[in-house]
This record gives sequence, C-alpha cells and structure tokens, in this order.
Amino acid sequence: MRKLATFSLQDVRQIARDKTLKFYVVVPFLLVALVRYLIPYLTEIYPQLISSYPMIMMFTAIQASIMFGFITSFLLLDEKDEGLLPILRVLPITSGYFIIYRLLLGGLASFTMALITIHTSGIAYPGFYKSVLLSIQYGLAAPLITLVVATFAKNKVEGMACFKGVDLLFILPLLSFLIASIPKQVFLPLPTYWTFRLYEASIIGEALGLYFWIGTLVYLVLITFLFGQFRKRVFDR
Amino acid sequence: MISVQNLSYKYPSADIQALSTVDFNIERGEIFGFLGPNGSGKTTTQKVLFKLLTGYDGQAQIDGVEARDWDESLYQRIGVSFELPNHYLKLTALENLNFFGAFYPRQLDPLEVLEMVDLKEDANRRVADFSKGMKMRLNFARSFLHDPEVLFLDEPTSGLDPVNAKTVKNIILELKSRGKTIFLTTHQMYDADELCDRVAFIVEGHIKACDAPKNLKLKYGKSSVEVQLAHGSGKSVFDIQDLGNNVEFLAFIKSAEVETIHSKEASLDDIFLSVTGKSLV
Repeated sequence: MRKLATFSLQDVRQIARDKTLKFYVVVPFLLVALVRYLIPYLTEIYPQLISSYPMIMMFTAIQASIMFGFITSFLLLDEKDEGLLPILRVLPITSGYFIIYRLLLGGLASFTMALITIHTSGIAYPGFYKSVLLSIQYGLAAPLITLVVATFAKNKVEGMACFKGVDLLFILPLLSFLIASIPKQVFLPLPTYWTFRLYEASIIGEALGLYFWIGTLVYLVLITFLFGQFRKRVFDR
Repeated sequence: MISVQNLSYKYPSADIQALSTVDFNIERGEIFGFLGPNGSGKTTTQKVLFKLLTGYDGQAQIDGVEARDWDESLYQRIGVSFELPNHYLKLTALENLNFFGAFYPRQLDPLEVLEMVDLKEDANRRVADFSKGMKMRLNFARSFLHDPEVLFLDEPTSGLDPVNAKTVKNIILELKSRGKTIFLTTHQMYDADELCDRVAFIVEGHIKACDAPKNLKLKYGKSSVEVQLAHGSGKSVFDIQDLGNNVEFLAFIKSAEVETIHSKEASLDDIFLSVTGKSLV
C-alpha cells in the first residue's frame, strides 16, 4: 500500500508540473459541461436532436474516459524517454508491479470519469446499475490506449499521432449507428463497438449480458496481448 | 560475493556473442574494475548480474545464488548506477531520492547523501535544470541511498569534472572501507588504478587479463628511465633493471650535462594495449 501511495504521489506531481497533462485532466470535465449545458440549449432549437442523445453520450463518454489513458501513456513515454524503465526494473518490487499499477491507475480514473459523465451529463441516463456496467467497459479503454501508445510510439510526437489514430478507431463504430447501410459486423473486432451496443441496449431496454461479456472479453484479450508486447518491446528490453 | 564462470551471452538480435566464457570472482569488500572499450561487454556483464538480461549460459552468482533465481529481494541488497543519467526531470533531486528510497525498508538520509555528492544546495531544484555532471552525481547518490551490500557502478566518473570525479572516487573508497563490495566499469585507466583492488581487461566479450593493477604492471610492464641531455645533445631511454651497472647509461650521462632524468612506469593504458592489442579510447 505504501508503494502504491508512493507511485500515486509521484504521478500527481508529474501531472501537476506538465502543462499538456494538466490540460488533458481538465478536458473530460469540459466535455461533460458542454453536453450538460449546450445540448439542452441546442435541443430547444433542434428538437430532433433528442433521438441522437444516446450517440452523443456514447461519444462523450469514450472521449472523456480515454483522456486518462492518454495521460498514463504519456507518463510512460516520459519514463521511456528519460531512461527510467531500467531503474524501475531494479527496484525491490515484483516484475510487472509498476506496469500493472499504471494500467490500473488509468483504468480506475477512466471508470470514474465515465461514471461521472453518464451521471452528470443529464441526457441518455440508463440508471445506476447499467451505468456501472458501461463504465467498466469505458474504463478498460484507458489501459488499452495506454499500451498501444507506450508500445508503438517512440516519442511524444509519435505518441500524440498514435493516440489520435486509436481514438479515431475507437469512435469508428459510431458509424454503424449513423449509417444503416454499413454492416455492423465490420466493427466486431473493435472493443468500443460492444460498448456502444451496450449503451444502446441499456437505453432501449434490451438484455445487456451478451454485449457486456463479449465486449469485456474483447477488451481483456487485447489488453493481455498488448501487455505482452509492451513488456517484450519496451519494458524488458 | 560474486562468482562468474563460463558466462556467455548473445543479444537476441545480434550475430555475435556479447560475452564468451567469461570467468571472474569478486570477494566481499573488494573493488573490482572491468576495463574495456565501448561495446566490449562491461555493461552486459553487469546487466546479467542484476537480472536485466536473463537468457545467459554459464554461471553468474551473487552470494551463492544464481542471478536468474533471485527474486526482487536481490534489489534490496544491491545498488545500481547506470552509465547514463536517468531521473524524473520534472521532480527535484530530493523528490527523486525520496521516491526511490520509499521502496526500501531502510535508507540513508537523502539530504546527507546529497551533501556527500555536493548537491545539497540543489536539493530542491528540478533535475531538468541540472548539468550532465550533476545528473551523474545524482545517479551515483541514488545507488547507495538504501545502503546496499553490493554496488554496480557503470562508468561512475563519466561526464564529471576532476573535482567532482575526485568526490565520487572518495565516496567509493569510503564505501569500501565500510565493507561494501563494488563492481565498477570504466575506460578511465587512471580511475581504475586509483580505486580497484583488482581489474579485468575485457575486449569483444573475452577477459584478456585479470589481476591487481600492481601485479599487471609487474607482469606486463617495463619500467625505464628517460634521460634528456642539455643543449639538444640527445635523449635516450634505458631499462631500470640493473641501471647502476648499465655501461651505456653511464656513458650517456657522462657525455654531456643532464637536463632532465625521469623514471617511467608502464601505465594501465600501456598494459591494456600490450595485452589486448586494443586502445581504450
């Protein structure tokens, strides 16, 4: 517990002293405020917007929650750039403790942010139980994006490009809700497809089990694969 | 304390062996130096010993336990100073030491450690504002913060000015006097000569010689005397052995006024060159 507190305090300091990271901590809250106050106003002008509330929330929740994945990936990139990974490997902690801590940090922050987003945005609220299930999947998006960026980006510039690319992939399944002619099967391998389907099902009152379990499994398989890649290509080199 | 027998290692992406049948032992309380040019296998050997590299052949033991069999408790007993500075640049020197120190059951007072390496006044400055030499001293300070039994120091005086290099060398000698075992790598022969009880010459993954610096000089070196005569009358070098009976030497110093006369001992650099056929720089 002491080690966990040490790592957490260290990360808070790192974030507080980095302008970019500080900005990205604020972004999710700005998004939530935007949805809460702007969407009702726009709905008064364009009432047909109501039918798009679930999609707006699918998008907002994923954007708000993956920001913490971005932040943790940049903390890791900083450590990679500054040659800190070897020194972290010679600390008296179990191999992998540090990476798992980082992934859990991002995951927990994203889970919490998704829960806050779904609860406070004021639109397309599916109820507490369903919002917890949704937040679990949104929370899993953060470690996924952390691992992709930290494994494949050589520096922060590449990291930013990588993040934008993955972000685009994450929101791509929204097209299947916008354009009926696009076959949904195309998006099955993308984990956020299952999250968005879960959101849709939770709003229209469909059974959630299939989307929750398959979606969670897709996230976990990808995270496990990328965890191995990160260790092999970056951490254990 | 450290026992290495027939150690071989090949990086997965390399065609040639980084280490080939390397043998040496380091006694408790000894300063042992690995000398060799860049890419000779010095750092690789250290990395095997502290488990950053695991797929090796042969034996690499610390305190009788194979390196690969140690769990994370190994890192409470050893301290590592890497060749290049690696710190959290946005944090201060003191915050860096407090962070790393928090992972050990006991640690020295971080401010005292900073004072030892002449960084106490900079304790609350962010490491991003440090020079390379300051970062290297912080690297070194971090390695003994938790008072380990064994220290692995990779080029500990690299990037330091002579004053700070002297400070670091004095601390290394003080750590030895407290019974610490120190395994350092360097290509600074003067440092090795000054610090090490024994040194090993390593080239292309092979150990070419291993002994006390004094013994290596006796075994491979040749002491001589260089005489310079005044008014450009000549300069000559004579073997120091049986100098009093060397007729040529006696005749030479009588031939004109002697301007300078110097004894010349073989340096470790010379010995390294003569043993390995390679230069350190």
